[in-house]
Amino acid sequence: MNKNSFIQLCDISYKIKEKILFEEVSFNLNLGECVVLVGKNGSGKTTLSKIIMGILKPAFGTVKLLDKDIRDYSLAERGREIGYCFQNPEKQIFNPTVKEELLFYYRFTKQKEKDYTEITKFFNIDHLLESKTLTLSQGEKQRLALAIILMLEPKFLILDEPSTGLDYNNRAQLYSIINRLKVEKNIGSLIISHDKALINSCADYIYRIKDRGIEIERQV
Amino acid sequence: MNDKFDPRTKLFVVLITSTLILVLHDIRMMAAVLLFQFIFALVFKAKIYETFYKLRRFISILFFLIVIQSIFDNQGNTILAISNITVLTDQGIIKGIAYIIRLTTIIMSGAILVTSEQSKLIQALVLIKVPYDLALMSSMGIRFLPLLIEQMKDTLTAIQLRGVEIEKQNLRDKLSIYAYIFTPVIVSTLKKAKSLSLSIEMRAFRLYEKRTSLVKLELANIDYYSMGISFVFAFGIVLTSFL
Repeated sequence: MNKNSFIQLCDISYKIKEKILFEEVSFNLNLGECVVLVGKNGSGKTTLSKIIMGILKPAFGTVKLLDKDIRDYSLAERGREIGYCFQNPEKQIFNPTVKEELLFYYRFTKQKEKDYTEITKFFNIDHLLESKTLTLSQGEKQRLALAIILMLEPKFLILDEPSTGLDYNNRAQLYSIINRLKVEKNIGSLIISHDKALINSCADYIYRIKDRGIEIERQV
Repeated sequence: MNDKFDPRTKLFVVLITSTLILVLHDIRMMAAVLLFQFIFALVFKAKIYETFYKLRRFISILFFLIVIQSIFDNQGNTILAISNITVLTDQGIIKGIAYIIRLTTIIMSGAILVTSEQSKLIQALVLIKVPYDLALMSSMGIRFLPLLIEQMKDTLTAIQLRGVEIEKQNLRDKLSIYAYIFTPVIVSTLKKAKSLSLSIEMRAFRLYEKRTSLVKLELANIDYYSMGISFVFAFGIVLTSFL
């Protein structure tokens, strides 16, 4: 195991009904590295990300988080280690206001509320704290989704199509955020995307889903 | 999809069994109706196991309802009491079981109806004089139900991934967390409804008074036999129970 290896996939096989999506897929995901996962529509990119998070159970093989089977951790423990951003950010926004959304975790735990000033400035949502989450634009929702997962200070991020629905400026901002997290906080990431600009700006590796397996390509 | 049976036959069986299950009070008769519907569900190749497997999380709630039923129903002999408060009575258990049978019948009715293709089901409803708009809306409702369940599951996962251990919360907080699930579900349902209605309008819905249909339904002998058996069964149950 690489000294930075955070997540390990060991011989993962998965099938939906009779269709085999993955056969004996193995790879590592490291801290401080950005991996972009690409593949055709329906090739299983989101499914693979859910397998990594332990939301879906593979037919064979194991996913290890810090050398321990991911399913031995509760969903909450996994969420504290790996920040998972759904393809549709609306799925993870369920509070009436931005501020309540950011403090959701502290409402149900006995921990002291964390200061959100830095993070909201980082994502440029500090002026939206009292705004209703329903009225946010797609770009604001995307940034809020990233902010709420980073409030838990995860060591790794899995982002499913994070640049969808973002305009040019918001995309550039997203690339800069991913790179800053990687460089400044050593946060690793697996990003599902077809966005070439994102690949060029952020990716250290490209993992391509092909023929039920993964082709790894180092980005220069 | 199993197309051996006309959707009208399935509608007839569902209508008879679900009506009987609502008007009957005798638990043996209700069990007979459930068994009758179960046999037809097998004949129609309904995915009974898959349907109930998806609903397995609600089993504990069902048993909880039996207990609640008993607490608020003082009739019958007390089976379990905690410091003068009746928790379980024999009548309460019977009512609880009746409730489970009714719910099972309704769930199985849904499983039977989804064995028909959506277009055929709409056509069947139109043929039994249900207005086309209503038929379309009800079939859309059936189609969107699994998507709503998926959305609820995703939101529950998202809540847990936010670091909140639902299992470790007290009952009040647990209920409060579950309430959060409904916001994204309601929002996405309203959005879906809005975009669906727009797209239907864009496709010139109701442009002509009379709609033509590619699907032509015809009742075969097997449909007449099935409906006949259902009618005789219903008649027998009504005679035994009410006369």
